[in-house]
Amino acid sequence: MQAWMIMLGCQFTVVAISAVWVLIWMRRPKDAYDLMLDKLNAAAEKKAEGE
Amino acid sequence: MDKSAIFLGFFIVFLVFMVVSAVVAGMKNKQGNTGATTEYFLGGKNIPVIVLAMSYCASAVSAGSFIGDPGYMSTIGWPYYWFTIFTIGGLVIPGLFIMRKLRLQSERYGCLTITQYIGDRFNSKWIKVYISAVMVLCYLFMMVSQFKGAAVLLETYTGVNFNIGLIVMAVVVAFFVNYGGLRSVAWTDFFMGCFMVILSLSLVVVCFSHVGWYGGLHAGLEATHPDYNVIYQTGAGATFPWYSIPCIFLFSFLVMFSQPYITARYIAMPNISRKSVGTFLIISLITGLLFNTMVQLGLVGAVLFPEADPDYLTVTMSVEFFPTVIAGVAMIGFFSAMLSTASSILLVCSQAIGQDIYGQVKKNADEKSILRVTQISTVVIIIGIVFFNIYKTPDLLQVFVLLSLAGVGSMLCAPTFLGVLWPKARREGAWCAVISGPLSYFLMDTILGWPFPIAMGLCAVPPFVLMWVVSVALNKTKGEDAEMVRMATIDPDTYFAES
Repeated sequence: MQAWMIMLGCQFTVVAISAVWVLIWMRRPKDAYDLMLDKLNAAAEKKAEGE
Repeated sequence: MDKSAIFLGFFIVFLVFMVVSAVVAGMKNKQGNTGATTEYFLGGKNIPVIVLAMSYCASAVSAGSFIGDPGYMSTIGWPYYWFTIFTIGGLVIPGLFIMRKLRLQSERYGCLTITQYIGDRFNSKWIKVYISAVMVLCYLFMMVSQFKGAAVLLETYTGVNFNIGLIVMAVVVAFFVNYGGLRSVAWTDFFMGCFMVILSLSLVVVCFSHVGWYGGLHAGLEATHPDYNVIYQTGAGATFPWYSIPCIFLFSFLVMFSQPYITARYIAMPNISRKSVGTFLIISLITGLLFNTMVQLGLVGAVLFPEADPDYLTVTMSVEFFPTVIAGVAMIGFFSAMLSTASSILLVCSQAIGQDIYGQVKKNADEKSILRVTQISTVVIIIGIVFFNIYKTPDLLQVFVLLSLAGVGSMLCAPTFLGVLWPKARREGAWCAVISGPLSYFLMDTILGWPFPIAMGLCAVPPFVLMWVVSVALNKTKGEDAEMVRMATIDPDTYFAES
């Protein structure tokens, strides 16, 4: 097998794993950190509107 | 019309664009209501996700992927590409573990920079000062090489004298960073990133079509550089032996990820929800992949232009293969790559001096004086860069880039990762990590003479080990630092009561 095939194959694998991992992570249900961040975001938006 | 004149015209338009975006960003900073330093350092935390993601990639990629990496690859072959393979994933995957907790912790501490975060997380003002000083020193080398690259590029394309081009760009970048802060850096990175996308796609397609795509490239290398057609090098003195591959993985996922000019984007994100973090990471993945494909052009250049200067192979190919106007657009892409990283790093260094050194040492320093010191630092650093380039120009660009990345990344990786993920990590452990990181790299690279891919990856190991061992040992003997653990623990029941 030629070197470029192995290297591009590895690159494709890393990118595919990364993309799939991120997409699965995005679709997971909200956890406690998400709820805390939602509160922070809401507070920041309120503060911005208030001023 | 003369080619040089056309290129000069493009360059002038590019500089005007940078100045205008700085003015617009500066005006927006003044109108913002999150505080002068938050507006300047974090863009008021309301820069759109897509802009931050593109800025993240443009800053991470830099002149490295467009000029330095192809140049280096043209002297080594396919083994160098392991850096590209792992960097793409290394910029994305650790973010899944770090980003949200880092943001929650930095909101609690009120941090604007990663240095500030580490100082506040471990309750040590002097660790901030130390990190800032080492970071400025290491990044100075990187900025020297970025500006050198840009000045040589300008001279190649337009005929403008190296020193004059250097000074013009230095002045514009200093104004751009000083007046607009992160807002102008991020927005300009975004537009520069768009140019870089166009450049990557078009140059890769055109150059590969000239060499006969991958089959032609393989045959060309077999004829001229058969030792390039391997996935790792063998023999005594090999720079990329098989065991360099896991070291490059460590470098990409730990050292490269921990660069402050990259992690600054996490603290600046306006909305940390799964959707926006995921969007940020996917955009970063796609643009990173596109930009990094340029690295392969080093091999194409080695076949098609064996006599060309390795550092300027991609530039040579753009001038040879594109019509003049398109080559002008490509030129903007190259400048974008260099100046986007240079401006991000300059901002981080100035921040370090203003916020993390002056702000710590001078009691009761107010926001205005911190900003003033930051802006003065920008000018002083720029003068240093110009001086160094005129009187002591560095040789191969990428050497300086790698030295800077390894020095700073090895210092920050353990305190960043363990600080975010392990509430029981101690201050003493953090001190061991920040000192041992750069020392490890120096020991491995310079004293022991290990090949640079191995030194750059393995230098991350001693800081992690030391930080963990020292923290565990002291927690057992002295007991845990309850206050530090409490502040570092993100507990939904108590977070808002205490914030």
